[in-house]
Amino acid sequence: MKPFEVQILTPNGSVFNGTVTGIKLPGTEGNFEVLYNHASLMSGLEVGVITIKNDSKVDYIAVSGGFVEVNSNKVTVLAESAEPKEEIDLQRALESKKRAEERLAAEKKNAVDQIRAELALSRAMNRIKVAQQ
Amino acid sequence: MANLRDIRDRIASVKNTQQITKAMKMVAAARLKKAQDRVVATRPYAASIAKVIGKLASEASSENPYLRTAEQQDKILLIIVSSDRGLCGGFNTNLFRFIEDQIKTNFSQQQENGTLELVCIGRKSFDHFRKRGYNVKRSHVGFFDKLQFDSAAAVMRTATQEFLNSEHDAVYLAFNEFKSVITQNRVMTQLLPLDVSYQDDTGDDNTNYIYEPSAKAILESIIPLHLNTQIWKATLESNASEHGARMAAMDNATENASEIMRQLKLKYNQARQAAITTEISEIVSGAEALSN
Repeated sequence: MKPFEVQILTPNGSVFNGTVTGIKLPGTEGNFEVLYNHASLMSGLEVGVITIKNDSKVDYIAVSGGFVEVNSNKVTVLAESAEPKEEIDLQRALESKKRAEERLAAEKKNAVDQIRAELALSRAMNRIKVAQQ
Repeated sequence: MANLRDIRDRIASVKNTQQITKAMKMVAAARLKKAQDRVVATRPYAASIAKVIGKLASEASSENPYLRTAEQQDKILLIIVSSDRGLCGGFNTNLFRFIEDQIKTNFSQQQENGTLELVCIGRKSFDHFRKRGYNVKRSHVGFFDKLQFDSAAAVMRTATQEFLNSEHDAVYLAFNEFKSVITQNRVMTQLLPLDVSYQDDTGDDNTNYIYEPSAKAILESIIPLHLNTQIWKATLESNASEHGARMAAMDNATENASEIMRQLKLKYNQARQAAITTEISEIVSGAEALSN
């Protein structure tokens, strides 16, 4: 398999920058994989896992939504937060999961708070999932 | 002639102050380096988002809620980024003067009607504008103790939501832009409604993209990311500017302390010499009286 360039950028800097042979992404329309010579594409990303394959080596990165651009064998992922499996603070994720669940269990406030708590919960669960992979 | 001990005490106290200002300068220098690194780290992300918005700008339509332009900008939200701490020269005062001038020229009507609302980031701006009777809607004090993307994004998310609910007709942002270590640019920019026309398409690639789900939907989902980045960049730049300004101010203070110490030492030596001279002349006149 031919390698191509992948860049994962966040407001706090670059999380991944290198060549890979395949990358799986959690698109808004479902998961998909990008390989060498993929057509140009722009897609939104859901909260989920990015799987980076380098021949037989596999890396997991937790991402909290964002955006991906594929163009002439260069993949750019833009996300407000992205953490490689090794850097996930499991303790913190468990705590924020608990907090989000408490907020959801409490009396229903307005719709915006509800959505925020649900999003926070899904991000926390995603981190836990990746960390335990 | 001043008392010798008084002068000695003053010298010691000035020396103490100088040590403090010197230490503060070095702390500011170390923090400045870190703050600059963070500004640099965020650049590729910000540039990529701006580029994507440029590519999608042609998809921008009047239906896009972020581009909604009111016929009259009555209700204004102004987000001000200042510092939490003082002792940084004219960093805050210059910014406040600039903002007050801008308000006077651009939003005097709204200010009179009370429809100009402020969001203050940093204790200094909150103290300043609240005291002067401005309509401070929210304040974020202690923001720079732990400068995180999430807290900056949260400020913007709330403002964006309010804009979408038509609570504001426009959202502006004012902050100190980092130009160099000793100079800051005071800027005021419009965040909402978003002006996509300036993000002009470079036109170097006319690639036909596949859009999932659609170009319009992607544009709408990436604009909030862009806005959050704008305010994040502003807080980082302001933070770097603050440390730069503090470093310059403390450098000046250290130099001034040296100057004061030089003058005090001169005075001290003069006083000491005068005391010795008086003593000698007393001894001499005493000895002369004996020999007669």
